[in-house]
Amino acid sequence: MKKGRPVITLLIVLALLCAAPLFLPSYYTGLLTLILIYAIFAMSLDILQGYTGLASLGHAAFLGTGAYIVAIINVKIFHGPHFAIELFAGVLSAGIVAALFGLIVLRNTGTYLLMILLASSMMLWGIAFKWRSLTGGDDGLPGIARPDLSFVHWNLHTTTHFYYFVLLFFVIAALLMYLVVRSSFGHTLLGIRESETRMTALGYNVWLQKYIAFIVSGIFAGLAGVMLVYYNGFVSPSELHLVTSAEVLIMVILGGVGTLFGPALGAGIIILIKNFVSGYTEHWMIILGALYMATVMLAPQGVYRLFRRSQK
Amino acid sequence: MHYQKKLLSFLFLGSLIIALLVITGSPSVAADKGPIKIGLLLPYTGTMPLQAKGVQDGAELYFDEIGRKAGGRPIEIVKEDTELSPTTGLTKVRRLVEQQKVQFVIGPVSSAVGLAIHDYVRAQKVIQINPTAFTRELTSPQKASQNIFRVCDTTDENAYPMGKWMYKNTNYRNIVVTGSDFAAGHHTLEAFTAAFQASGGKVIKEVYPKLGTMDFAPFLAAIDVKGADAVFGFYAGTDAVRFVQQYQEFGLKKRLPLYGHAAMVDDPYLPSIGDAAIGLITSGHYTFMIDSPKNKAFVKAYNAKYGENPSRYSEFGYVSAQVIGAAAESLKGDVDDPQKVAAEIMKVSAKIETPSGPLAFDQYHQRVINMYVLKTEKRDGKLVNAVLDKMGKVAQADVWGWWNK
Amino acid sequence: MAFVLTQTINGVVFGMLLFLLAAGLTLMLGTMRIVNLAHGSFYLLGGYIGYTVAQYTHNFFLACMAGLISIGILGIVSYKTVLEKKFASETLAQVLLTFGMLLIISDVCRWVWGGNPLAIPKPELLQGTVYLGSIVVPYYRLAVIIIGALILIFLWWFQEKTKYGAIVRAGVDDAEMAQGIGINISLVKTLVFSLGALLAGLAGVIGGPFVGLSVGLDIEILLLAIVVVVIGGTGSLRGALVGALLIGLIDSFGKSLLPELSIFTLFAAMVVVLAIKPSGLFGTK
Repeated sequence: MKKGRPVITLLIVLALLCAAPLFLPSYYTGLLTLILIYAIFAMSLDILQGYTGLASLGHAAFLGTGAYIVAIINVKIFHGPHFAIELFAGVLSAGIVAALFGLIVLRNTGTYLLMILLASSMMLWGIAFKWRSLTGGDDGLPGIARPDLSFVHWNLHTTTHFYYFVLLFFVIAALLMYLVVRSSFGHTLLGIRESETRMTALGYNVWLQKYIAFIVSGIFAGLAGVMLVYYNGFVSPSELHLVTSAEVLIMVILGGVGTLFGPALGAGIIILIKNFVSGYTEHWMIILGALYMATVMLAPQGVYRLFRRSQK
Repeated sequence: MHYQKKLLSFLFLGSLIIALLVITGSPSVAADKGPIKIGLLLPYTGTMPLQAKGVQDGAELYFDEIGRKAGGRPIEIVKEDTELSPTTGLTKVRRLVEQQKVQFVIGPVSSAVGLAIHDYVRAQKVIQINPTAFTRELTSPQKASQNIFRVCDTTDENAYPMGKWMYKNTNYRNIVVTGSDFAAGHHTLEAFTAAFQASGGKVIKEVYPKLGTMDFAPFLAAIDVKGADAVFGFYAGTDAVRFVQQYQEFGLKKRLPLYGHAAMVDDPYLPSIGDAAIGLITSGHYTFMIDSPKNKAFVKAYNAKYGENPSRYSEFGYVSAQVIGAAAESLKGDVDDPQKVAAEIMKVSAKIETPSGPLAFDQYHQRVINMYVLKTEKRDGKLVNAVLDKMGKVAQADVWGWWNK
Repeated sequence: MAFVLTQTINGVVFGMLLFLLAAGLTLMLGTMRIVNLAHGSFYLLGGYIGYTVAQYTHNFFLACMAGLISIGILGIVSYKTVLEKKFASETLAQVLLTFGMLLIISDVCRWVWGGNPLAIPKPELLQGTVYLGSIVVPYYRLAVIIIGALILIFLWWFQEKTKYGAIVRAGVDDAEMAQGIGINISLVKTLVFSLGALLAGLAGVIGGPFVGLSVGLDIEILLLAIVVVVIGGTGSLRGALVGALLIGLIDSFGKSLLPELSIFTLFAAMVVVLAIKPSGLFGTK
């Protein structure tokens, strides 16, 4: 596989993403914004799933925490946007939740890990659902204002400017995550995914490495949560629910576990198809279900790997 | 070789999809006197499909009655599924507004979705008629908006008058309230409690099972407390079916008469609940048994088209459509300026006769609604909600004093 | 005292229904290492089919048979056409595959049976309620306990005492060796999977009278079954039973003592058990 090829492809994709608002109608620019947000979310899960080998059905915990913290600060504390504080607090709180969960769950493996993470994030969901005075309960917290970036002449209330705002964070996040998985730490994680016993024998503190990966993964998911709450202008408990965790896991699997960019592609495919098909038929679930099954049969390693393989 | 074949088929599929997206992606050009486009933003999938169907069927019936035209322009309906999810609801309403360029949106059903899309819709040039999302905030002074109208009863408009009615018309003085543990449940029971206690009665216990409870047995045991003489409840959908059935199954119905919000005995769910529903007394704004000329005509037309009786949701959908139709007709089809349309709606609403009674909106665009006390009975072998008493017209400002100071 | 007794009975009844749900899943997950997210869908579809049969025949037993047989067949078909293949050998592939099945079955059910919550009418015999002092127990729920116990005994007998059970255990423990001595592994696996599926379908009909059949139930049931199987430890029938009864009792007492926190009960139990015993109560990882 030629070294230059992937870089050129990525640059082309980046160029297309930058140019998108110029030729897309505003609704699709908005949809693309949502895709970029979920792409960050999916990539963060891949660090955990694809690189460290830790399966999770509770990743929404971090997305939702980031979202709720920003919402609470925005609506309850400041009654207005305070971007720097919100961003920092949102990302940090997601990291803290990851640090707390990580302490409890990393003794579990395989299916059990999947389940304890599911249960833990559903506990957070329960808290958001019940603590109506703080979180608004199942009604959620609406009325969240987007950051005020008038000092750089950006009006985030327009679809296009907000798109570029999210695109900027997407590129930064993707770059950082790429550097993480390419680093020696990333290679350690791959080693852990292959065989924890071997890595322990080689002298690595496996638990610590998994813990760090867990926190890193949670931080980026929190970032996605911050972007999501700005995009929607509201937060509701569904951001913490199993359904959201399941959706992002499906995006990762469909796109290609362990490819980092595959999950981003997976996010795009699923969101586009869902939106497109549901406009034409009530039975979009059958089509989506068939698509998932077809992907496993035709591209069991994920869609992204189809492209990689053909370049050989 | 094998992989290349797979890759090709995938790429082919992918480009087909992208092509279709691009083709359908270009927003439809709304010619000056093209059709009036109305978006139905409802939860077709998810756990409230019957509510969605009711609203849609009611609205479509009205549009059929006026010949699918209003003010000289044909009417075009676009449907979008909110999947009962706030994020999806927001995405779909954006599609309706930005892609489909609708002038009107009828929807949503879920209060969470209603809140989620509220700020967006407020800032758009579109009129929203809310048929079912009944959380009280949506038309409160803080949130009310020029271009948003609501035709369903708020939790206050339903439960507060019922609280007063129960004190006045029954001998029960020590009530247990129970409802699903979510915002709507709490708001409804709180409104009832405020009214009942203000009248002099006592609510001696609150029991809130979680939303989606399968087995109410432990909660029924908690409700069955010494000194209670009646129960007032709020459950909806599948929870209502299970609760009402199990209420009878565990023998409570004989000892503790069950009252509640009309959602507990919604017409679409009555067949599933079965005889366990007989004898329940509930507060609602509509039953197909209402004896008025307008309603009789409505029920007849509904049966002719759909083969079943209309429910509350059918009425909400029908009235939403009535409002749009009347305004469009009165403006002779000139519905592209939301401010004008909103003002027109306020003007023509007094002339609209709905199946539930005359129509009126207060200054916050919330319906001033006709409330009834209903009793579930078996007539000719079928379960129906008969009218027991009338509570008269209720405006939200009359009944929110206990929380909206 | 009456309170404790009532809640215990309620808990055991609910637990027995959970056992029916979990038994099939524990077979698939533990014995065959297959993650089947469509398990709740099997339950729901079986229930709906049973409902339709009950509508026409007014015979509850026939409804049970219909649910059992139809989903058993569905299990065979899904296993042979999809889950047995090489592309379905990885856990994550199974997740995607069975999630797809979940979506399809869910939509088909909504399409065919509509959005109304349906309930299968109880059999004539079991319509009343029994009053033991101040404790109220509907006959049908007692019957569920008995049926659950019978199925448990049958499964245990099959697994431990019959030649076929031994074959299944051998096949799962060491497929190559079993094949070496002439056992048709593919047939065994297909039958085990279909047994798990058919149990789910049967549970759907049995649960029909009191849990009902409604949109979204497939996911609720799946979640409950997963909770039970995971807490009890995958692969163990004993684990499934203990897990189910434990969850039933926790649920029952939790709801009546702390109704405000009932949203957390199951998940909290899951976190606590898994944190203390990472492989579940009787798990063997």
